[in-house]
This record gives sequence, C-alpha cells and structure tokens, in this order.
Amino acid sequence: MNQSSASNPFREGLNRTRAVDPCVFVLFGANGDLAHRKILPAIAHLAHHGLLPSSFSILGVGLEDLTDDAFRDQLRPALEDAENSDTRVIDALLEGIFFQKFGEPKDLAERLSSIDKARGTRGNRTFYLSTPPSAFSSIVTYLGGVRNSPEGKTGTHRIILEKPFGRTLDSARALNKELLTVFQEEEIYRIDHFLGKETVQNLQVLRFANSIFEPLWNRRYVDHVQITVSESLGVEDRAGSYYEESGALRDMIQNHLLQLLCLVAMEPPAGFDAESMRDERRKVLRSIRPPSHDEVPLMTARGQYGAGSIGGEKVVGYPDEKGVKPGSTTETFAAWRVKVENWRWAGVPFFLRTGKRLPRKLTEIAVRFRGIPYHLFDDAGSQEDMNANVLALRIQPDEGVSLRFGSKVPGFDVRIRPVKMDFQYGSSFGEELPEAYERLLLDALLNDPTLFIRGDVAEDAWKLVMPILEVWENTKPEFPNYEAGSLGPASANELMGRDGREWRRL
Amino acid sequence: MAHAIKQKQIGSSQDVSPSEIEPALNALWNTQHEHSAEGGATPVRACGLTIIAIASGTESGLAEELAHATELVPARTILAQLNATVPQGIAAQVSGFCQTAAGGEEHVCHEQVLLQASRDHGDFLAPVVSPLIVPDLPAVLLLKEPSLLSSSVIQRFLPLVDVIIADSHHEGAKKAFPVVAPLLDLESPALRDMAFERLTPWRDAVADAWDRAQSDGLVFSDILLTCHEDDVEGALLMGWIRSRLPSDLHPTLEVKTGIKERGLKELRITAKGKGTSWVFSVSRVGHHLVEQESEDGTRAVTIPWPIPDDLDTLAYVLSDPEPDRIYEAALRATQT
Repeated sequence: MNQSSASNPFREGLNRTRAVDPCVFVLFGANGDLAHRKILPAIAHLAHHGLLPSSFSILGVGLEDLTDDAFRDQLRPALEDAENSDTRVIDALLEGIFFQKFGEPKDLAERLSSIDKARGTRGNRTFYLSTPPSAFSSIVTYLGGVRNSPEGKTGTHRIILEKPFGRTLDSARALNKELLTVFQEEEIYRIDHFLGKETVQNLQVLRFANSIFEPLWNRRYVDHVQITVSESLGVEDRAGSYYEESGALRDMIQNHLLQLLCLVAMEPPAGFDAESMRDERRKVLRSIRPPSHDEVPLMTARGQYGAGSIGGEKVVGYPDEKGVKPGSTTETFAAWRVKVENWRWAGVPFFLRTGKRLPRKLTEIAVRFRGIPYHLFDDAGSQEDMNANVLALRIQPDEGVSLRFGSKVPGFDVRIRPVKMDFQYGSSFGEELPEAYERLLLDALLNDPTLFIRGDVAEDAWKLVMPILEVWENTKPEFPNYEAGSLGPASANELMGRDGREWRRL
Repeated sequence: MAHAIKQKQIGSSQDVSPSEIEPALNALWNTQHEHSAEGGATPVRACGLTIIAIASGTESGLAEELAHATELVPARTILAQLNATVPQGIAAQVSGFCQTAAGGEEHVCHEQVLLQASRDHGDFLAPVVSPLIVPDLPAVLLLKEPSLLSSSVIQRFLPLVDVIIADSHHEGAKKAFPVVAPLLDLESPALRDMAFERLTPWRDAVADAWDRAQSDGLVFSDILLTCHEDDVEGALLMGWIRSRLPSDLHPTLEVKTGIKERGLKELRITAKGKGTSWVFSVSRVGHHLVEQESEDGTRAVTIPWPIPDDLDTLAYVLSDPEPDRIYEAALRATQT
C-alpha cells in the first residue's frame, strides 16, 4: 500500500508527498513507437527526478527471442533521450530491466515472482498495454491467467491502456466487460493523454482557484465555446495500421475533445479527489443529448484532405497516402455542434473541430462571451470589435491563457479596438512543462485515477458519437473535399454559419 | 542540474541616477520594441516577482546566481551592494537580459537594477528600492549573509517584502541562527533558508526509510548524523527530524562531529522490531547521495541520487516564495 503524507510524518512539505511503491512495470509492446517515444523517456524523467523507488523494475513482454541484456541495449537510447540525462541514473534503471517472451501465463507469473525476490518488488505489478487495440483482448485474457496463478495473488495490480477504448459502443462495452473479469475498475487506468497536459490541468485552477471567472461561466454570459485540435501533419505512416479504420471522429472527438468539453462545462466538484472529479465530468456527458439521425447532417461536418501545400511544401492528399484504400471514406476532419442541456449551459453551443493538414498545429479552448446589451459607444468601432471578449486557453503550442477585450484607441475621439491580456507559461515560468506521460505514469503508479477515463465515461462518450458514425457510414461523402493547408471543408463553415457564428482563425 | 547561462544582455548597462531608474527601464523596452519592428525578435517583458538581493560588498557571484535563477523564474532583480566606493552616495545601473522562452521562439526579457550604496548611504537604499517593486507580485529579499539582518539597513527592507530567503550555510549555525530565529515571531515577512532547501534529498531519504521500516513492521530506534560541528544543514536536519517524529516515538538522536568540511557526511538510521533490525545509510559522494540499505546484513542496494545544485535550488525556492511551516518548525526545534 503506498504511503501518504498522513501516515508518513516525514513526507509533508516534500515534492514527493507520496511514494511510488516498488513494482514491476510490465510493458507489452516495449519495442513499439509509443514505448520508445513517450513511455520510456517518461520513466527516465521520473527516475531523474528521484520519483521512482530504487527497486522499480521493467519487464518487457514481446514475441521476440531476446535476452535481458539485448533488451536493455535496445531500450538504452530511449532512456537516454531525456535532456541532461545522467548515466548513473540510467545505469541504475537498466539494472532493473528484463525481458520475457510472450508464452504461457504461468511463465510470466514465475518470472515476475523471481523479480520480486531479486528486487523486492513485493508482488506489485503495473501492466501497460502499449500495443494495437486489436491485441487488448488477448492480452487481458492472458493476464487473467497470470493473476490466477499462485504467484499472481499478492501485491497491488493495475493495468494501463491507451485509447481507443473500442471502436464502437458495443466493442467498448465488450472491452470493459472483459477487463472487469480480470481487474477491478479501480485497477484500470484508461489514458487520455490530453488530460495530463499542464495547461489542461490549468483549466481547473483557472476556474476553481480564481473567483472572477466562475460567475461568468454559464449561459448568461457565454455565447459559445470552440474547442479546436488542429494538426498540420497528415496521417504519415498510420493510415494502413490504424487511421483508415478510425477517422477523426473516433481518433480525436470521441475521446480528447469530449474530455476537454467536460473540463470546460463541469460543475465545481465536491472535492479534488478522483471520484468527485470523474463524477462531474461524467455528468457533463450525460447532459449532452446525442444527435438524432436527422440532426447529424445539420450538427456535424466532415472532410478529407486533398493535395495542397503546408509550410510552402507540396503535400499529397489523403487518397494518395500510404495504406489508404481506393475510394476511402475515412474523414480526416470532423466538426460537431454539441448541445449541453443543463441549467448552466442550455442554449450555449459547444463547437468541436479537429482535422489533419490544416494550416497549423493548435489545440485551443476559446470561450466567447456574449456581446454587450447596449452599444454606448455608437460608431466607436465595429460591432464585432465591441463584442470582443474571448478567453482563450492555448493547450499547445505557446501554452497559456489570453483574454481579449475592447480598449480605447489613444486619441481625441473614442475608437475601440480589441486588445489581448496574455499569460504565457514560457514568460512566467521558465521551467519546461512536464510531459503529459510523465504526470500520467506517476499518477497511475501512485494509484491516483483522477486524470484517467473511467469505464462508464468511456461508454457514455461512445453513446454520443454512435448516431454520427451510423449516419456517416451510411452516407457516401464527396471526398476529398478540402485542400491541405486550408481551413477545412466548406461544410464546417456552413455548420457555424447556420448559427450566425464563425470559426476562430487558425 | 545547472546549465550554461542562456541569457543575453540587451544593449549595454546604463548608468542613471536613482530617480531615473524607472524611465530608464521603460526606455530599455521601447528600444527593444523598435528593434523588433526592424525584424528582430519580439521581446516579452516578463516578471513573476521582484527579487531584492543584498550583498555587503561586491558580489559578482551573486549576480551570476541571479542570472541562472531568473532563466527559470523571470523576475525584476534589484541587486544592492553595500559599502561600495561610489562618489555620489547611491549609483544605479539598469540592464536587461533576454532568453528564448521555454518551448517557444519569442524572447523573454527581464530587468536587472544594480544599486551601489556607499557606507553612509545604506539607509537610503530602501526608499530607492520601494517604488521599483512590481505591484501585485511577490517581493523577495535574498540575503546570502543572514547576519546582515541585524543591521538597520536591512531592517528597513522588511516591511517591503513578502519573503526573506537567507542562506545560513556560510556563516554557520552559531552566527546565523540567533539572527534568523527571531524572525519566526513576525507575521511578515516569511522566512526561508537555502540551507534547509538543500536538505530535500536527505529528507526524501528519511521519508523513504520510514516507509520501508513501516512496511516491515519496524520503527526507528537510532539516528546518527555525521557532520561538521557548526553545520547549519546538520542542525536543521536534526531539528526537522525531531519536529516530525510522532510524540510516542523516541529514537536515540546523535550527532557525530569532528568533520573538517562544512556539510553533511552521513545519515544512518537503524530500525528495529519483531526481533530483527535493519540499517539504512545515506552518504554524500560528490554530487550524489548514495544509499546503502542492508536488510539483516544480507543485501545491499546502492543507488545514486543527484543532489540539486545551489542554482537549481535557488530557482526552486524563487518559483514558490511562500512561508514554509516545516522549515519554521525545524528551526524552532534547533533552538530547544
């Protein structure tokens, strides 16, 4: 059981107010891209900060025939990727790294038991599935065998999975059901890495640690909210292996954007504990009415990029990307006008937008406030300028918060123009922002599920997007329908135009 | 770990009279904006707090420390040198420093004001500094020589600041503690000590030892600290341990001195219970803490923990300039 500052009188006042228990981190897919780009560097960073116990061990599980030493040699570059990497810390970490070929559950159980004896990891396990979703089911079944073995019945266990959690509501339910045959819900950590981002967490602080915003955070003062995740990159090599079967709605809106919406729309929680926070996020999802099939064309837009240019360079369209099937109807752009039907937000549309091959990479939440009730300064500026209040939270890049308001232009007459009050992490805090995976991994190792998706929340999110998927799958679109480097398909502008509103510039 | 300073000075330092400091700072930024209009990088005038650093002589080391710290914690820094040889009583110099923002391309720029006061003009410093403190942000007084707190010059600064960051290490416990301890009775400003901040890795080690002992059903029975006789960190570490121990636990606490160099050498904790005992030892080896744990003498684990250097520690304290009740309790415990 991990020790809290309440039971350890020496922890109070230390950064490490809680200690990670000794454990074996069992990494499925250890040689995959995600493991090398994100998970292993995050572990190395945590080790450099002294946040992992000396007995922390990693067991890679894969199909290859590898010795422990050969596996360590493979992982070393990813571990040394951390800036200011300290060789001694890396060497100490490598001493605790092992490899097991995927075989019988009892083999893994016995290997884990031998690591317990050698390293003092006390039966604690963290299983991380850094594999394609198609492998989840078989691995979960396999872990059931491991946990049922005599060696598998001690210690604290947890399982961490990457999104997507299923491909449809039914498959998400099936996956959750399967997980719950082997693990308790409190042992399951479903990652949405957006929730680990510093500025996403700053949204909570902004709303609930400052008194000035909450009185305005409702239908009386907010006109609409835009949540945008745009990428300038295309699908790169992911079309064949994943994206063709997914599309923008499944890849981004069903998880990341809906979670961001929940953070914007949620009520203040009763406490900062995991369940209070997760309950409030779930309440938002339950307040959203899924669109009817007739409403889908009016409330959504989709697109697929064609050839164009990004950053002055020509790029091919999605149909010509590697692994894309001829006549593909996979959308690379999706937009959705969401109705949150509760007392706080009734009548306030939330516009979600995501796409690939847009002009720039940007993740942003923009809260646009209602215009003034009466134009005192007639002719002092355009109506647009006078209705100028926007609170924008930039998640990436240039993390920060800005407030746009109207100001008088210096001079003898009264002219009003919008200006911005800007907070940027880079200018107020010189330190690099921690990577999302570092925070999420540490939280999982500390048994804190606040930033992870609960099973019922994952299913609720699927319920909301299923009507859209059903309509889209039964309607053949005219793709591609936007040029790479443009702002997206015309239908997205029409979606906003029907509401008399406009998308923010990218 | 500290790295080479990445800041670049903007233009050259300007010598100004004390009454011209603010206009000179504003002129600095106007110049920068003109430069950016000609195609240079756009500067962002950054400030998270005001740092007032006071030295009794010319302290080039202090300026460098502040340069490192303000890379991580952009601030307006006011470096005041007492007992300077200046003909006009108080001389002032204004300069700015720029660096690329973390993760971004724009330039983050912050200001430094150097004040040099002759011996008989020290009392005039506080009124010069007062209007330079940035409103609505924390103001910190940085004192590498805590004994200066007893001087009238420094006493004038206390109402102006929110936090005093002292560094008792160099002056030793006998000289520094009688001066800093009375500040605990003041509501404001709060007191922090770099000597206590340096103890973080040692405190982490004690906390880890506690967790391990508890999980094995053992309790601390003996704690032995080896350090220099007048060592501030040693005194504070023992004070901290005493102040944090549960009231029903009374391990033997011993300090072994006779070490020539200042600093902590070794911390040794014995835990006992259920007919068994267990020794946890942490020693400083260069820039690392090396832990050796033996369970019943049959197993030893050695792992190096890097000790943050002073520059990183200073930046950490400046990024969170709040009262530290844990430190205050540790300091009080050294007085009993």
